[in-house]
Amino acid sequence: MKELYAELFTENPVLHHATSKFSRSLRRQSVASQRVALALTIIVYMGLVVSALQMVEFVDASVFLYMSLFVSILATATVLYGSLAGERERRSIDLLLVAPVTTNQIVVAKLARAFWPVLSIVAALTLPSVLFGIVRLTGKLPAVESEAPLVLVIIASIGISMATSLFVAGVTLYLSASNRTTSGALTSTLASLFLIYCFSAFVAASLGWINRGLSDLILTPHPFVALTRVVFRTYDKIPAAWSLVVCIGLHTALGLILVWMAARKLEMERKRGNKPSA
Amino acid sequence: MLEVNGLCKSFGPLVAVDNVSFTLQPGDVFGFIGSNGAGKTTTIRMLATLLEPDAGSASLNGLDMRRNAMEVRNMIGYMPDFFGLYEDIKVWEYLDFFATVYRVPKSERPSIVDNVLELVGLTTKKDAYALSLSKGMQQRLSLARCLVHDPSLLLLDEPASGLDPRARAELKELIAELGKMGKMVIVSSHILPELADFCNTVGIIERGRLITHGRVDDIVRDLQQTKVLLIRFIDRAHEAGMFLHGNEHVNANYVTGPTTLKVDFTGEHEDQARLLKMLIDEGYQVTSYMEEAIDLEDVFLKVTTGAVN
Ligand SMILES: Nc1ncnc2c1ncn2[C@@H]1O[C@H](COP(=O)(O)OP(=O)(O)O)[C@@H](O)[C@H]1O
Ligand SMILES: [Mg+2]
Repeated sequence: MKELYAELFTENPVLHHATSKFSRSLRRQSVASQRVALALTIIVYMGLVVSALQMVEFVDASVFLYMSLFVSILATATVLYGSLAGERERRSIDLLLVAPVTTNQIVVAKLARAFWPVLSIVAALTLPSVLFGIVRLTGKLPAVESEAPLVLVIIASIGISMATSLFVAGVTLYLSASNRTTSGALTSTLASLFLIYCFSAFVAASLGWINRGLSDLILTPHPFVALTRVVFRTYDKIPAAWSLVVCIGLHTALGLILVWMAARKLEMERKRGNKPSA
Repeated sequence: MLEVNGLCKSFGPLVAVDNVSFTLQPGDVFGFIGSNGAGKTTTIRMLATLLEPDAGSASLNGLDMRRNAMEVRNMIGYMPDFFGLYEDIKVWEYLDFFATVYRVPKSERPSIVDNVLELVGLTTKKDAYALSLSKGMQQRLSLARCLVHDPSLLLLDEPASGLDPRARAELKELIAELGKMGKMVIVSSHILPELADFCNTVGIIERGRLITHGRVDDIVRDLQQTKVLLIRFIDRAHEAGMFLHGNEHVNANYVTGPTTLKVDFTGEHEDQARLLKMLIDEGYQVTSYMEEAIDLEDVFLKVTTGAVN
């Protein structure tokens, strides 16, 4: 355990560089299109918040959770989709693979490169949402109905955002490691995330596995929560807090497994080579 | 010291590298010659630990490439046949990044970056963006990147391709310099004259097989068992040719003009002198009598057309 920690963090030269000040110039490579996508995400998010508040008489506090979730998914995917596929496209990946670093170290460095941008975006969107929700709860603006206690809302907001980010990072890194082009990585990432977060939630809803109450909105789109409910056949009785733990736990675990699988993909590339030469 | 033993690699039914073996000593510059698709890149990638061989092994300074991959990677500088460049990064940042990846201590990095930049002649471009460099400079930057961790083996895959003659000459000088620094250098090319003058060992690969390899001098000497004599006369070259026909040391002779004759000759130096005396005694007026220099290019042509081996 200690050795793994040293390998991945304290003794990881790629990571050190990624976190040192020079990395800014490397990070600059995370192309303009990514920044545009991030800006669009923020605008859409703001638009959603505003229209949600204008259109409804009741606002459930958990709507903010749902939105920060939405943002953390998109932000993570946008920052990471090109990280390995882009190296391959630029044909610079071999330069990393011939270096005396393990593929775990490479993948963790890539992950870390996305960490601060994602964390800051998620924080920037989550905290105001939560505060806004508090203001709404106590203010004289349109009535805000909260089925869940406010503390749970805040914990859920941060916990789910982070866990979801990690999970999405895993999915994205794995697909980035499996694709040869950034466009391929982007397409497959978006398709997978749609399947995971929208399609499965839709199926769960149409089969009646999830409540339609607004507070459930935040947890139930998670396929893992739906799954727990199906497995235990108690989907109406499982309390939100328990669903939350399952949700965060599964996201974290699966996220780490996917990151590990991305590193194994690179390891394979080291063995089998990555392309037929010209 | 690099020892390569029976490396093999197939892609499906295609045998890309077939039982390649050779040895290099420190200071050796090994010209790895073969036409496109001969298996040079595949061999080099296996030596760079980027591709596992199906069979065979290689060891660098006593360490097995597969079992001690991490240590070996530290002793290898690999320059691929393309320029894997990050956009939007300055020359020194690029080198600094790789110095970090190769665990060069932070305090030594700035001076190492300066040193390799000076070695490849890019000091003035330190703050330029890497993508703004000319192809020749990018190639030198790429070479500088291979040098930041002071490797003992350099694998340069077609470093001169796409360069203009001047940039090519500069690169050659640089590679020769690296050999003098005691590094082992493997440099591949599909164009032989590119390598002829600065390699001391060569290997010629054809369809995955290393058909000949060794010291340049040895290979040339082997071939010189059939040397070519170029003889000029005032006239009657044709008649002289008839006269030499049937001589025990003359394999064949070709009249290449009214006054010149080429002779495929197998004898020793004494026989060579005797042949000249015979011609003069017979009354042929010889104006020049010399051994045609055999260079690597002749070796290449002879070997690849099957004239040798
Ligand atoms: N990853 C690969 N998959 C399939 N075939 C390959 C691969 N890499 C190389 N080859 C084939 O192996 C042969 C040797 O290629 P290569 O080593 O690149 O030759 P060279 O570098 O001498 O031009 C070629 O026929 C090439 O098409
Ligand atoms: Mg090649």
